[in-house]
Amino acid sequence: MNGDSPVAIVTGAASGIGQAIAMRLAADGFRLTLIDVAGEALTTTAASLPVPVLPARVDVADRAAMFDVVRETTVTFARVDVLVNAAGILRRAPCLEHTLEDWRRTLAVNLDGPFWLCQAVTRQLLAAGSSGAIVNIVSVEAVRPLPYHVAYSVSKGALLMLTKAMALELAPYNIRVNAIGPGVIETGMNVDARQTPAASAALKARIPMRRFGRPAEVAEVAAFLISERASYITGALILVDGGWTAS
Amino acid sequence: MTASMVSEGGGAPAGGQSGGVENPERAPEELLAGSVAIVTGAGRGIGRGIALEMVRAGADVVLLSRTLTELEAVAAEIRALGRRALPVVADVRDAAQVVAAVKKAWEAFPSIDILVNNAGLLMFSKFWEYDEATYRDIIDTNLTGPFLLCQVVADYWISRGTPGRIINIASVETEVAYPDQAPYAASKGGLLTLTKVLAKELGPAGIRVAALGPGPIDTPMSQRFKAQSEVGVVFGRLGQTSEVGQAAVFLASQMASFVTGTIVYVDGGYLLR
Repeated sequence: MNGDSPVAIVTGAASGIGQAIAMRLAADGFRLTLIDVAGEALTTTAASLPVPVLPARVDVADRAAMFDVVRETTVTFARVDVLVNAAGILRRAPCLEHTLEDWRRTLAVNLDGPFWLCQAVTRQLLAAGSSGAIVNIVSVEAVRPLPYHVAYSVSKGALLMLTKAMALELAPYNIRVNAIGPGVIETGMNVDARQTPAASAALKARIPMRRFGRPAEVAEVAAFLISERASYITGALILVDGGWTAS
Repeated sequence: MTASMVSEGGGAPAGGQSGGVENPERAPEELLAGSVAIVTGAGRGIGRGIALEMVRAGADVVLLSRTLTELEAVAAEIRALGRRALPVVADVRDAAQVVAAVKKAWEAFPSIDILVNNAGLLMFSKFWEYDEATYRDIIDTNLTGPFLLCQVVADYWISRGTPGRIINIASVETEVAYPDQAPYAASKGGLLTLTKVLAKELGPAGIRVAALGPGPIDTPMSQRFKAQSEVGVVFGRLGQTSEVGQAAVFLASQMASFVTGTIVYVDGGYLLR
């Protein structure tokens, strides 16, 4: 049974949204390649899942490593069907104080890495003549920036356009490429703001649903976009933000 | 007045889907088990597709439109699938009829928790040739009708303290312009903005409001521009009404529990061109 199960590659899988997506896809029976730089947490996540897992402690910004991971995936599992780019970093600083390192590192993880993986996975899908689905986790900041997040907001806006550009080119091969734009989700990325009472209250006041989202709620949307239920959806952005962007 | 009219409709069979991965463990029947949905414009086309997919996901439905014979045909299909369907004849342009229809629906199904505003009217004419009556027909069907239904249904939910979900069927025309469809385009743009305002106002009450933006879907409404549409879609085919229906099921389900005030385009990549 496992030998025929579909295979997904998930980045940022050791924690937060990426981890929730890995858990959701495991519940659906996917075999998984999980990528993260946090090795120990990745091992823990991998061990907790009831499906075959190939953990890869690598940096998504490393193009050669990404091609190696996809190759290793196809050797291990004999197929690949789905890619979820969830790895992301946030460097907070006023725009005039963003360093070249902040800028380059943010773009390397949030934009370059997804592009290398899209390339590597697409090559594999085309070689196998398979359809497939790619989901990129962007952010509400792809369409609405926040102060002191200039590199992050730019990287997410660019990842959204990468999503559309790939969707346009890959539609003839039945490879769908979509984006999810999470709002304030309970992850380590925003834990400081959420745990400061004044900041937390101010954030919630901006969210029509008056609460933060859970990583599992983003994972559900990813599961939908990957599934056959979304067969006519490509190049789309689904905001999962409790109404943040609308208000 | 040279406008020609094509009303929302069509009974295209499902099929030809691809580009997804079958979810091996979760049966779609679970997604809307115990739910009851009001679907407007449910006699044909996208409305019928949404009603059928919601039924396949476990919901019962109230079918609303102006044409009883069409509603009865869809209701018969739904009963054959083993679920309940209540046809209610009403014109969504008329506030009194909307109030009466919702009252009748609530008496039959006290646990209504989903509203789908799908009824729509598309007409073609040069912008300067639309007369006032035609303009009002389009705006009232596509925008005023959803406004009235949202008011009445949200009032039921809020007064009972129960959560609900509203799905408004907009269009890719919220993003792109086509000639000869000025009132339709304005109505759909308005419907998306209405969706956002209602999401903000109703969010604290636990009511989610989201829009779907279909591209070219295989219905009678799309027949006259079917050839151009297929060229414009990067998938190279029209969408099926069932594919819009499945997206509506997603938005109405717990899978979309943090999705509100936004639009999901179901357009085969139409907006990428």
